[in-house]
Amino acid sequence: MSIDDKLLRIRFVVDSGTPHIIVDTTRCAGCSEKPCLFACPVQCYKMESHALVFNWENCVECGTCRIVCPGGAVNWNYPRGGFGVCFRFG
Amino acid sequence: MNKFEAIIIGAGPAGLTAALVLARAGKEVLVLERGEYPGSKNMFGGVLYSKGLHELIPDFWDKAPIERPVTRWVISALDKDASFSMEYKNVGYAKAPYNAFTVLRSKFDCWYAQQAEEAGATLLTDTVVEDFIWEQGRVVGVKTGRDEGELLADVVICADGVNSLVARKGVIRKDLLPEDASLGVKEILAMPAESINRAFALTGNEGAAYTFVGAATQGIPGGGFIYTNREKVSIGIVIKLSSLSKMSKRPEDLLEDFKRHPLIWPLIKEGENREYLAHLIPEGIQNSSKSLYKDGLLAAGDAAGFTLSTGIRVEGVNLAIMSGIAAAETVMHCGEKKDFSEKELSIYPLLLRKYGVLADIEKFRHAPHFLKNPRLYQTYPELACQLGESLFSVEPGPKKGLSEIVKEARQGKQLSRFDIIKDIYAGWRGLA
Repeated sequence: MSIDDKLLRIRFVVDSGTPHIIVDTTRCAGCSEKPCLFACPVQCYKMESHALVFNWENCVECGTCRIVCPGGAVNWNYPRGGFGVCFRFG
Repeated sequence: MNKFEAIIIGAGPAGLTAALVLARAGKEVLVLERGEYPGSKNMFGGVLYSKGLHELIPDFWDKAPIERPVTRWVISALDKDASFSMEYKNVGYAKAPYNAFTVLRSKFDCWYAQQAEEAGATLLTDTVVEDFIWEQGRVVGVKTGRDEGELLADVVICADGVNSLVARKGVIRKDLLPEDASLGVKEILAMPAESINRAFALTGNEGAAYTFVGAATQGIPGGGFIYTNREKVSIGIVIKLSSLSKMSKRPEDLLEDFKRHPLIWPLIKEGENREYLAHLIPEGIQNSSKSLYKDGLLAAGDAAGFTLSTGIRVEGVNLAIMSGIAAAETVMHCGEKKDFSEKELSIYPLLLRKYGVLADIEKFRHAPHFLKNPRLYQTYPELACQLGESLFSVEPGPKKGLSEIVKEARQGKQLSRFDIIKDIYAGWRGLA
């Protein structure tokens, strides 16, 4: 089962247009490690035509990117109350 | 503006325990939860040890949504196609007062919140705390994301979990570094109860807890786990964030590889994915008393970094519950004195010690260092499996004695006798 199929089974209450994490990708260009690319367990961070792209829609709010980012590019917040990931089993 | 005696941030085991104890003592207490319901943001392995909660809610197992009492504990060194295990089975654990239960957090945390509410606590979900309200250098309330969302209290308890954005705004805790945290990724697999019993050698509603080192994380510091629920299996891996940052293996791929391991797959092959989860675990955080409280403010549970991992036993929820009791009793003490300053709150570390939280963390303070040893995750699991192979295979010709077997395996791994002695000493120091 691919990660995309697994993500489909996670319940999200999507707060359209209000990202809870903002990544200052201008800082990422100079980052040689980019640990976010493989540390994020839901693949929110991807390289697209040589630039780092961040998508917050599948974020499970674990906080990994905030801690592994060496360049302080991740401005990490909780989603607004009641929004975001909503684990059904936990 | 509303004023409460205590505001608790986070409806997890730490916050809800504090709320329950305070509400029973007649205090006006408000619990703020950012999720849609308690547990909706929470994940653990998971096993809940029963004795601490039993003291708060006698015979809670008759009412709480527990999954299975754990009677089988298996710890395995895992290699590519072999494993060397240690099993502890106790059928006495299948009856009161039990020892530990598997639980699913979304159900359990909701039930636990209900107990706090029935005791008189107020729970407000869908509410993010954005900051504190300060007055002359002390915390006097919180600002929430709601309209007119300012709330005042004599004291605020931060039980907002591992990321604890709020506790850091209270300058109560330094931020986590990759060395201080592990990432847990897990899947919930639906499986009929009979299949679970067959695969895990269980009878009736008994449960199993499996932990693995070695090939479970492909030699990366961390481990794998499987816990059996009633009709679901929780399977996951935990990886040290500092190791994850250094290598290019994805956590979700490591988990999938672990599931597909030839010794793991037969256990779970009938399982169907119901949920994929990820969460951080604080590990090896050395607290100074200054990082636990401040004028008008206390931290409990994961927010304070209260977890204990000795490799064999992993505790988080249990320490969260105990720290919730200690926080509540601290608040009651301060209430009697009508003083919520650091001077009176300083009883908190003493109570944490009394309830075993700080005592255990201090006792096993060398464990995090010991558990950083990379040999634990590759060399020794492989060595154990090689020993197994030598012990259980018969070759033509003269047989080797145990010392020869160890020596050969050791030389193949360039593991000196001194390394082993050193590691045994570190293990003894960390865990004994």
